[in-house]
Amino acid sequence: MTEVTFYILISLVEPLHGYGIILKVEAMTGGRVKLAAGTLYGALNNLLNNGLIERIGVDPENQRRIIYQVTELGEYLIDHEIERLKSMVEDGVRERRN
Amino acid sequence: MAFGKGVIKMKKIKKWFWVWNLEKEKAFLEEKAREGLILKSVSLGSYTFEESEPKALTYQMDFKGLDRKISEAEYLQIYEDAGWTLAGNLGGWYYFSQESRDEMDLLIFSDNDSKAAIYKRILAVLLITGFPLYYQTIFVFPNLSSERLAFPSFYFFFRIILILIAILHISALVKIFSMYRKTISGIRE
Repeated sequence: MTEVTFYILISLVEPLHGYGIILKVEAMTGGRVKLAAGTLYGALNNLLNNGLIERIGVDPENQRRIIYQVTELGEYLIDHEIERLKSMVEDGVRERRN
Repeated sequence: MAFGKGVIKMKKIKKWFWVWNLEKEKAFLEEKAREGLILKSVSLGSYTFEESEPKALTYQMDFKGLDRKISEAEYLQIYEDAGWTLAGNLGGWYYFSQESRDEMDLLIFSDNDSKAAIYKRILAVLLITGFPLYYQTIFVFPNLSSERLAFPSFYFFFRIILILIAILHISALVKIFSMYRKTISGIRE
C-alpha cells in the first residue's frame, strides 16, 4: 500500500468528501503529505474498484461533492497495514541499536 | 466588426498536441498566458485564447480515462476544490489552470504512482482503439482482391491512410509505454 493510499484510507474512518480528505490528510501529517487533485482522483478510483471505500451520500451544500467512507474490508486492511508498519518500525529500531 | 474598449478579443492558434509532449504543451500555454493570451477552449488541432492582461498561470493536463466509477461532475469538483479552473477539454483530456503560488499546490500528482496512472489510462484507450485498426490492417487488407471492389483506387488510398494511422498508433503506444516505465521507476518521495 502506498503512503497516499494509506492516508486516504485512514482519513475515511469518518465520512468525508474529496476536498475534505485533502484537508484532513494535510492536517494529520502537519503539512507533510499534501494530496494533489489528480493523485486523489486516481486513488479514490482504485479504492472504489477494490471495495475498500464506498459512497455514502452527497454534501448537502454541493451535490457534486460525493461523501465517502471506508468499508468493512477497508477497515480490515487498515488494521493489517498498521500491524505491518509497526513490525517494520520495530525491526528497524532493533537493528539500528545493535 | 470594430473592437471597442471592454470587448473581449479571441484568438485562435492552430496547433497539434502530441501526448508524449505534455511538458512542452504546458510550457507553450504558460508562455501564452505571460503574453496575455488565456486559454478558453480546446478543439481538435487548435486552441482558442482570450486576450487579457499578462498572467502567471500554471497549466496541468489530465486524462480521465475510461473509468466511469467517478463521474465527470465529481472529478471536476475535486479539481475545483483544489484551486484549479477548467480551461478546456477534448477527448477525455482536461486542461486546468491556476494562478502560480505555493509550489505544491501547482502539481496535480503528488507521487510517481499516480503520475504513472495517467499513462496507464492512455495505454488502455490506445489498446482498445488499436484493436479494430490492427485487425483491419493485418487480416482484412491482405484478403481483399482489388478486382472485386467497385472503387479500387479509393480503397488503395484508404489502405495507405490506415497503414499510416497504424504506424502513428504503434509509435504512440511505444512512446507512452516508455514514459510509463520511466515514471514508475523514478525515485519515490
